[in-house]
Amino acid sequence: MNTASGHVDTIEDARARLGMWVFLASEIMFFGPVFLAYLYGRHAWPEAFEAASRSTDFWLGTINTAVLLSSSLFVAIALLLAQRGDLRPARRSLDVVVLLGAVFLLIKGWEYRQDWLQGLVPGRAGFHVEHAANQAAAQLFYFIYFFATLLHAVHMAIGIGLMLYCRGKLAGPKGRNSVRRLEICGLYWHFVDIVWIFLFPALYLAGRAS
Amino acid sequence: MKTLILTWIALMVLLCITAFGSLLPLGPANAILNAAIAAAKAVLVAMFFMHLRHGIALIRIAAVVALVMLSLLFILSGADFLTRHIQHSAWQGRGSDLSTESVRKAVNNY
Repeated sequence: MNTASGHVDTIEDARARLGMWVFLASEIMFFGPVFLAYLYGRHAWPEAFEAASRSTDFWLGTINTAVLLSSSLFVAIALLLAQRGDLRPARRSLDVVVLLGAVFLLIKGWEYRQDWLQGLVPGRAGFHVEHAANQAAAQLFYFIYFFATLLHAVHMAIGIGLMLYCRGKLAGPKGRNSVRRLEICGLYWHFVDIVWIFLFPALYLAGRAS
Repeated sequence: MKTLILTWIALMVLLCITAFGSLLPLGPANAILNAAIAAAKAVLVAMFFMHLRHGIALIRIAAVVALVMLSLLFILSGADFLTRHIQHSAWQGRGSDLSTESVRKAVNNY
């Protein structure tokens, strides 16, 4: 590679990165209001929100957080390997990412099933959170819970699609493009991971000890 | 590779602290601890997995501006929510009582 094309590549890389970061900045505005709604509810009806948070599944939430954080590690490893030109191991690493992403969605789906069976779906007859004096406020918690986790799950599904796409591109001819694609899609994956990092304590850990 | 794995180990340790720490009755410190650890985890992911550490100034500005805008939105709408009483419609009853029972009573009285 001569210096001129190397220079062009560097500019292209910087452009792509900046584009993704600006998109992620707009995504923060998308998820932000959900957190504002949560903070308002937690401030206005602390007992109901904490009782509702206690009725979520502590273990499944914690395991899912570990699964997601690990998937981020494998995205970062895949990028490192791809940059070194080890495309086959990079694809293996992405296989692990897709697998972990699918495990996350399966666990979340199982949780939704449990929520449904335990009468924790807001707006449905028979909604009841134990030890919550104010059931209407507990419903608001679960409204936020379902909205936030479903929005996150949609992002996860898109992320899995992107990872499969990047994996396919890595199987093609070697080139700067496929590595750049992986880096940019990886940024998106890590962002979705960060959203969950904040959702986890808000939805699963609030008022656990009280 | 080593940095990435060390970052992951740090994330897992923080996850253990936040998950099991939340089971200890620490009062208001629970919420503060959880928020601080979430922020620390986010910084680790952004710095080491998203390579913000080596990012050029332009990209760091994009990230910081997003956070500043979000805090502005939180502060402005938060100030509104915290300093005003919710005005319920007639059938919703008085004050900020949102219980289904009070709503039902209010509906019956209406």
